[in-house]
Amino acid sequence: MNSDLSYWEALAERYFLAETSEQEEAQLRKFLCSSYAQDSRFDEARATMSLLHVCRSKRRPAMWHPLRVVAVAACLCLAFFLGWHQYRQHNISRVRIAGQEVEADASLLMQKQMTEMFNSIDQ
Amino acid sequence: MKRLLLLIMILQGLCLVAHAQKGLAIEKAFDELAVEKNATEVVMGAGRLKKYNLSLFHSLEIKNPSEAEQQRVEALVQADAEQAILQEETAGHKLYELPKRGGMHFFIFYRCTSQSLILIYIEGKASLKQIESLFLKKQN
Repeated sequence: MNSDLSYWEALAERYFLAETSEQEEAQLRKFLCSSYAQDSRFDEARATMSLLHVCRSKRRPAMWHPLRVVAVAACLCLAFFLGWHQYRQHNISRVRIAGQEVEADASLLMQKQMTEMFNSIDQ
Repeated sequence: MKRLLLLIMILQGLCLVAHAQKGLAIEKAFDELAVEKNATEVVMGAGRLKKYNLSLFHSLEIKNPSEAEQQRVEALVQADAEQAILQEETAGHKLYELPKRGGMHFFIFYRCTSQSLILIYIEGKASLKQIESLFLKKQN
């Protein structure tokens, strides 16, 4: 890294005049993070670049990081499964005889059992 | 991500509601005895019980129950009866209302004769009187 502070000062000035290339901006950014740039002359450039970096990272979060994609996919799968399970439980109507599911009117059986039950209570 | 986690938590909560019977001793009776050759198990969810204002009906009927089966079910019913807020017991049947949660009533009905044993678990918004009038009316 160039240790000539006047070079960096000139680069910072050109940066504020929007005359720097992307490569130069990257160099300047790297310099501002180094110990050479502790001089107060670079405070303004450091503050501006920091602010821009924060704004840029807020505007464009790393949305599609592979782990994030996997996490979102897993969450969606889980949500779908739970939703499906809930729907199935909600609409369940099952009759099993000796542990084997059979085709039978569960509603009719329910009415029969409940009526029997309440009749015995009533007596 | 926070929103997704919240969604999952809500769905899990709903599933827990759907499985409110979990945690009761009689759950073992349904699990263990529903596979017996003389057993009939009926399960109905809220979607099928709208007209009764119920959200779950789960019954187990055992024809000609053995002494061991009777004792097993009776012991499990008794275990749940300890937390009942309403108990009605006669020689022929037992009826328990469990503590109300989230506006829902929970009932256990048990009837045992030498011909059949019936264990019923019900949950829903309907009160005992409403359920009673509904099913007694059906017979008339």
